[in-house]
Amino acid sequence: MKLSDATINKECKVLKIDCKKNIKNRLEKMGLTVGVKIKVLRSAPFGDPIIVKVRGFNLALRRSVLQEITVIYD
Amino acid sequence: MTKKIALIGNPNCGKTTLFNNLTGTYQKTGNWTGVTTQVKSAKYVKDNDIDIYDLPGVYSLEANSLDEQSVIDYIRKTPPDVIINVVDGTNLERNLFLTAQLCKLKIPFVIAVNYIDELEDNGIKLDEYALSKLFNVSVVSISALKKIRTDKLINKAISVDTISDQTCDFNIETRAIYNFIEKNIDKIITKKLTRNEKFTQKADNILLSKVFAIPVFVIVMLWVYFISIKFGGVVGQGVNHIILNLTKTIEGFLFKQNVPNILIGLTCDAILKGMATVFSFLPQILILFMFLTILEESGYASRIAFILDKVFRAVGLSGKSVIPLIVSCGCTVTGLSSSRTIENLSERRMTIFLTPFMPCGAKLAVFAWFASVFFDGSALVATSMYFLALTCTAVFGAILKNFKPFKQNNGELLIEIPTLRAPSFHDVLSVLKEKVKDFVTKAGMIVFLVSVGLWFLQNIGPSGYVNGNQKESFLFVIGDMLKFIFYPLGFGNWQASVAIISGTFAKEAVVETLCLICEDYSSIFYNQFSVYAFMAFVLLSPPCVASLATAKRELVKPKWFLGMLIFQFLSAYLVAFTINAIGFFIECNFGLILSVFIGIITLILAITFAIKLKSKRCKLCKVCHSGGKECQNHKKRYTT
Repeated sequence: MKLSDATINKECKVLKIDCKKNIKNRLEKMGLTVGVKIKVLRSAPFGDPIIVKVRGFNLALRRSVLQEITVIYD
Repeated sequence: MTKKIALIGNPNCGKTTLFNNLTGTYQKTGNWTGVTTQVKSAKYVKDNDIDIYDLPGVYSLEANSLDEQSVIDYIRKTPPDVIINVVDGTNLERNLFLTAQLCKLKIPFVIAVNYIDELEDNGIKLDEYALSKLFNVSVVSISALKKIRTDKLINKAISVDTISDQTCDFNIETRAIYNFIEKNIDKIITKKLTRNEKFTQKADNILLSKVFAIPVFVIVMLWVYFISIKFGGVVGQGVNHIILNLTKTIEGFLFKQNVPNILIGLTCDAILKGMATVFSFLPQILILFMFLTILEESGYASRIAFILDKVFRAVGLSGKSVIPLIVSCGCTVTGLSSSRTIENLSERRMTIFLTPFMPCGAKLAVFAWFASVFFDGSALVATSMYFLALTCTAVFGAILKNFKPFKQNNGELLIEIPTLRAPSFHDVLSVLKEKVKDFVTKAGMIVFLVSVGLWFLQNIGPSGYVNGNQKESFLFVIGDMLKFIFYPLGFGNWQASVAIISGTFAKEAVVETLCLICEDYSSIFYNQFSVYAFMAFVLLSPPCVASLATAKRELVKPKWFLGMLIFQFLSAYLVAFTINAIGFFIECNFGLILSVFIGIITLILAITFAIKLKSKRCKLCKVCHSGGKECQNHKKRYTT
């Protein structure tokens, strides 16, 4: 399942990150690595971007990035 | 021997607050990513032999962004003697990633765990010993804000000299580091939500909710500008009165002493009156800056970026452009340099092109003066300038977006949404102090030079001292040559042209010039529309020299800088022309409200149209936003 389709507030585990190399790099440096637990918190009033909680902090990402992250419910 | 200590840490972990407290200087701090965009240094307040360097916040030591690049360059070119790694105690897991990377550097370092006061208040236990064992470095838990153990930190830092036992034996691959931290984090700190984090969760349910987010944002911003303009205006008038009365006293005194007329004119008319106009704006600018600092400090600024990202993408900007745009309402120079945090090059370039449209403190001062002289002090006029600025940003952004250099092709955006924190009084105060200093030096230098220069140009002409007959002065000659450019805009006379020119040095100088060279303001503008057109031109035309220098630095290539100048001049000309043309047709007061109204409607239409266009999805994959067409990528993927 893609992270963009995950239910809000339900904890997932990251299986695969298919973003472009530089974004993937930055995400990993911020702790969004394969295997980490992640939770979708909310989307912005206009539907995009979306806040996810990872390693104890909140990160806002655009939907297009979430579509490239594969997760599974924990 | 001076020792160089560098502060390195994640964005928003309290480095700059620590730096302020250690050095006593006033650097701008804030609760959003990327406040420190350059390396700053100052001496340690208790020992002049120690230089402290404040580096931009980074998540890693790999060049993924401009900020990270500048940190790497700095360390490579001028390696510091000691590094203080500031980590946010409320978010250790991510912060320690950078620590692990620092081990690689072979530069001695100590870890400073910040926000220890917050941890202790919430009963969270930090095991300093376990942490120091993990990386083989000394650990000091501090509170940068409350100055807890900051001196001990420096003592520790200068006593660390050897890197002997700081060898790290773990794998430096990203995942391996995080696994390593994950495995050990429970030994170091107990995981528990702090009161602040709980509060943030609740507050975000309102601040970021689908229903309330936009209204809250609009109300907050309206109040900020309303209070700055209204309250600041009243105080400012008081200041103006005091200086003017003082001027009169001095004038009378000098007259009695038989000082030559030319000298009295120079001191009283040129210098003191110029200062009076400029200083009467100081309160407005200070109040505005106070609010902007509070917005940044509290963490609301990055939430605004989150809320409005989609709207701004529609016009080719990013949510992160919101921060430069908001900061520019204080000062364009600061706004332009904060555009560095935008990852996407085309979005960053666009931000630099459009940021100078914002009414900075100096422009605000000009508008406030115009409002009081020509529009009976109506607050609506100055406020409408904000809407005009936003409209132009949206409309011109939407136009620029269609040109190749501004076309964006991807969805990069990473904003950390920080925990809400009450802004520190000390940090707000330090920003204000810094602004007063800036303003006074600016008023003292540029405005002083402009007023003295103008006074000479005004009183000396091709035939020598003109003795009050302005039509023979150099100023008249210059203005008269340029006035034809401004004819179609409704202010084609020499006074207005000269005011525009002096505005390129500093926008405050516009008002000051008009005060100096005009006896009767109503003769310059033939109706209120041409006044409004003039204000719009001041708003949108290329910014002051200081901002231009910053823009040139940020755009790097001269061709972009030149492009920006032409773009801004043309858009200013176009808008001023349109306003004047509307006025020409309507010719009554009611038209002003109408034109503001039209502006707002255009803005709304432009945004909804752009969003609609964007959100139409591809027929085939129903995922990507291709504006309803079938996208090429997916065509391939789905047909094969």
